[in-house]
Amino acid sequence: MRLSGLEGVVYVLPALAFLALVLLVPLGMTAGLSLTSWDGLGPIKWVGLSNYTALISDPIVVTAMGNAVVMTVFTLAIPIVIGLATAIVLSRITRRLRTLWRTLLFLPAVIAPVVVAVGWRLVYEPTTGLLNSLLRALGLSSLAKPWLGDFSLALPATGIVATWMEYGLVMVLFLAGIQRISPELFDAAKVDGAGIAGEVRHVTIPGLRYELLVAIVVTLIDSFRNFALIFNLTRGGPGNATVVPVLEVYRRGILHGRVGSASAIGITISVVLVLLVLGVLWFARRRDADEGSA
Amino acid sequence: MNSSPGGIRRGRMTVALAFVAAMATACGGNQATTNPTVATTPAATGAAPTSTAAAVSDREPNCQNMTTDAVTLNYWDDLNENLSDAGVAKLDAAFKAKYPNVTLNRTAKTFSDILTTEKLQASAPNPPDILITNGGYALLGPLVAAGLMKPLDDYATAYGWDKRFPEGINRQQRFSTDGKTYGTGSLYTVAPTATYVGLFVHKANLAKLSLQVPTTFAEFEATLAAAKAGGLVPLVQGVSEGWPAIHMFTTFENLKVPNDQLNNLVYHTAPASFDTPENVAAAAIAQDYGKKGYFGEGYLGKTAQAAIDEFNAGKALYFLQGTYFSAPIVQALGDGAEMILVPGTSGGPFSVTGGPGTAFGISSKSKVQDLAACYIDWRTGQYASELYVGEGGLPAMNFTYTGTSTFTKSVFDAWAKASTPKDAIVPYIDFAATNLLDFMSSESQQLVAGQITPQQYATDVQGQYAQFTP
Repeated sequence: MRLSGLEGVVYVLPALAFLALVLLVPLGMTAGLSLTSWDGLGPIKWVGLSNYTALISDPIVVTAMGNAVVMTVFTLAIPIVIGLATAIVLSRITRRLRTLWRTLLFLPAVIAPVVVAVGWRLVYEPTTGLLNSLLRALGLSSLAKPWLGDFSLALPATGIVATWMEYGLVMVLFLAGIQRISPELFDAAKVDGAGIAGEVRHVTIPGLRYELLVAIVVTLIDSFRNFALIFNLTRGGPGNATVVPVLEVYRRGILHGRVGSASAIGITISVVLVLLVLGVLWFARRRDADEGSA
Repeated sequence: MNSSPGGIRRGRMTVALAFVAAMATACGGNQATTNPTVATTPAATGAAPTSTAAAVSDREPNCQNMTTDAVTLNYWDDLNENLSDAGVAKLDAAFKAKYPNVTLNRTAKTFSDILTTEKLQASAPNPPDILITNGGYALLGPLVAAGLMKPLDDYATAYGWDKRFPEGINRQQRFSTDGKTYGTGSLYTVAPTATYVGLFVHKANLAKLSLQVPTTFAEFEATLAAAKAGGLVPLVQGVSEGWPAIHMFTTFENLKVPNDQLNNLVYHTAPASFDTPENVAAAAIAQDYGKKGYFGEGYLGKTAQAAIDEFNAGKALYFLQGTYFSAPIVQALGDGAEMILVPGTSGGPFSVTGGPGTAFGISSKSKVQDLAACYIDWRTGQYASELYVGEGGLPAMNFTYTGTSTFTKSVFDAWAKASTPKDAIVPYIDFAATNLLDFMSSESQQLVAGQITPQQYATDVQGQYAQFTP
């Protein structure tokens, strides 16, 4: 039975109202505030698009956007490679071992980012930290660095933590995907004389197309939503070496009394993310269409 | 002795100090009681000339215009600074014993919680009656400008707050009613404690190097070089949290930039700039020390607490930060540590960064403002201050320490030395503008690491400062 248009709307209405209340209303208010100058207490002054135009020449915002791109490598690209590799390995070991390893490898993904940050701070601590202690014990003192305090190492060091938090989700996603692929396809590949590499290339990866899409979208969003990690790990430091857009939203909106500018950054992040996700989906659909017509 | 169960760290909070000298002797009058460790200057001689004819005890609150109705006082408190939970409970119990009709409702917040939630709470329809705030243009100014804080001048006269505290402390809590002019006008908050930036000395290490406490800047630099040569970290630091890095600059700014210029920067009383040869010279010292490795290994990647741990473990000669970090040091080293001020050059400028810690103010929307004023009086008075000192804290009020701890005595002595020359106490520099704390934190990290030149630092900070107009 098919619902009439009106009936369908009635069913959707409660969810829509909830969505509007918790998402669309705040988003609309933020968009409105982004066109104003407001310190959070005093009068609100209309300034048009000047908050947005100011962002383009704001060196901290430019640095933050650049850092966000680097963080995408660590939150999206590397976790997908590691997640895929571990999923393939896990799919080829015995079931009992697989369950054990899957649980262990997935653990980082379920720990709260604040806890992760505090833990990794201890690992990276320059004098007593685990990493430097280990390096010194191995006679590699020259490699012991102030990881989170070094202007060129802090961002990659932070990125590695992001990778550590993210790959587990991707791995589980891929592992479920591999188990969904029909065993006949693997058998057929074997019969055709394909090695492991051939199987991965011709069966596994094509079979994981949708999981890959989900993984890209989720990790892409996560690479911009890293406030808890950055705030607790480095506060954007040293200098502005690890500052990211969401951290700047917090600083301006909550601490500096620059609600308009903070809102403009927030809206910009949202628009960029939506465009990127739409781009990914469009690309995937076009590939599907190409293959469908081939 | 001198321990603080709260475990204190963070921005200018905690432990504080009293101006000793001149003020102490200046107040004569009704003799205050003493306890075994603390003899006091008679505080609040101007208090309550009207209400009570009987001798006023400073062991119990003495409210004016006190209602007998059942009332509730909702107050915000600083979780770590000022006083431990147990200490506050003691004060509150005494308050309720005298005024059983009052219900005290405490909300204790961390320093960063105060910064992030105060504006929202203060502007809500039912804010707490007593707010605890940070000073300057960063937080108090906007609250005053929005009409959310009650001017306390009448209460100050009634309870004698204008005499209880040094004017150097009160000045940092004054604003014009439009919130635009800092340092003059009405009193808006009253601080229980004060803090300042100085130099913690590891006495055993000083002796090991056969050195004396430096009294000139040249001697100070000689001790740094000697410490470095002797395998110690000269001036251990841990600035990954950002704000501690600012004091690696302001310490030398205090010795290079004339005091009136520093006050003009913060109070906006006359045009002033960070981009001056004196500021550049101060920045150059910080950078030079960074290059020489005086701040220790990996100081940009570790917390202030980690630096304190190194200092306490005897790996450093000095720890450069404020009295807000006294508690963990005195817990570990006791009188093995000493607080001094970095000495200035002969005839050169000399000032010390310091001022009130987080301070109590009254919401303009409160319906129990008289009660709130009385509670603030109780929390900032003689008895409360004795409790602060007992926990290693330092009261904002005029207070003479006569206890036996040489460390605590050194903290009081250095504060007295700073406050004796007129205007030698200058406010925390980030009070100068709403957006300076974070900016100077990251800029200072870049400066000491040699990422930017001292001139670039001065130009950048001035650029950020110039964006702010009161």
